[in-house]
Amino acid sequence: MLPRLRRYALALCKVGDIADDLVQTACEKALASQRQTLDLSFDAWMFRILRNSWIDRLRRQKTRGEEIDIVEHSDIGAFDGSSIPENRLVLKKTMEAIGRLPQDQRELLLLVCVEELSYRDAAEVLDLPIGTVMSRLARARRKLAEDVGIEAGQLL
Amino acid sequence: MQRDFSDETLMAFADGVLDEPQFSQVAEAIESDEALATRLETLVTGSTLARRGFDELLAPVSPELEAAVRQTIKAAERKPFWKFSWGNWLYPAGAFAAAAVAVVVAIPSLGLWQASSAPSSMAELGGEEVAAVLDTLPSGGTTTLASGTVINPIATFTNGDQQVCREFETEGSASYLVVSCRAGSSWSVQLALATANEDGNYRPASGFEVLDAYLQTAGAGEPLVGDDELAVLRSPSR
Repeated sequence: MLPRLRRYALALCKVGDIADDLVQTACEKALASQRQTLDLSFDAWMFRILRNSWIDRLRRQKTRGEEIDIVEHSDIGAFDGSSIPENRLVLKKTMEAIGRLPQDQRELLLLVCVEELSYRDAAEVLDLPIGTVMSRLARARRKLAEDVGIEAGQLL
Repeated sequence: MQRDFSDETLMAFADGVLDEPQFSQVAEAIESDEALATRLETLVTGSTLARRGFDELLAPVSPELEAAVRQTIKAAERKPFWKFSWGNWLYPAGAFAAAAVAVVVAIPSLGLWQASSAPSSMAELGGEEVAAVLDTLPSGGTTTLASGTVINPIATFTNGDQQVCREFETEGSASYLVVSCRAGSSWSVQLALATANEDGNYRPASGFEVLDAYLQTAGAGEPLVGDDELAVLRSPSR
């Protein structure tokens, strides 16, 4: 679960050190609290705690006037593409495209397409109506496919 | 006549979660509608690309993060108090009322030590070096004192008197589970439970229940985590 939590943290903040902090904080909060929502899967519950930790952090940074330079520090899309075959180049292009997506679209791609959460569970994690989740997710999938190209995507 | 379907409907179809009769309607439409089939393919490709891209980000976490989380879990397992259940209460609260003001509770059979008969390492627990650690090191961290004693802060909370208190464990010639509370600029040991003696033999786990009962009596609040903990540790002493 830890590597998956950290990957979600990366999708949110894009910075490795901050992702580590978020995972640690989420684990502390999860262990210190009773699991209240039994109709939500454990994975979705953990993702939601991690996401709330990220929102808390953003709120504090805003209060302190600190901002993270995600372009400067981004660990997403930082992929060594030298001397690699074509499908690796497509993969590089894919990761860069994922890195360019707005955070709200990027995290939905991860939660639904990768972590295989249902639309309903994803809506619970993000505290959004399911209709918003579906339209945002469809937009993200279309954008990613258009950025990378359907033909290129079929190489993967 | 061709029917138009939204991207959301096509996506639900691709993900296999579209109900009938819409599922069959989409399936039929993409047979004859090339544009619709292309839109569907775009949504499927977007999902495939996301999966492959994020696969690259799935890697083992650093040993430091793993150790920190393990320490957090260890601390949580030792604190059934935080998820307190009356049915698990071994000792009546009244029996520990005096503990809130005692330096160390004396129940030798459970591995608790009186100050007067404590080993020298006990004196270290109330010393300035330990106080400096308690002032700064977040729970889950670890540090080694000049004497070689290892200090592992487990939790930070406030007691019924709104004092900042810390539960921590020590590892050295003897091991203790300790609760100290901040009074002014110093830390005062409230409870010290010997968890291992000099030959490294661990004492019965029932001692932890004594700790839980003590914490309950002291009116300890929920453990503070993350920035909340740091803020309390950094705040001016009461």
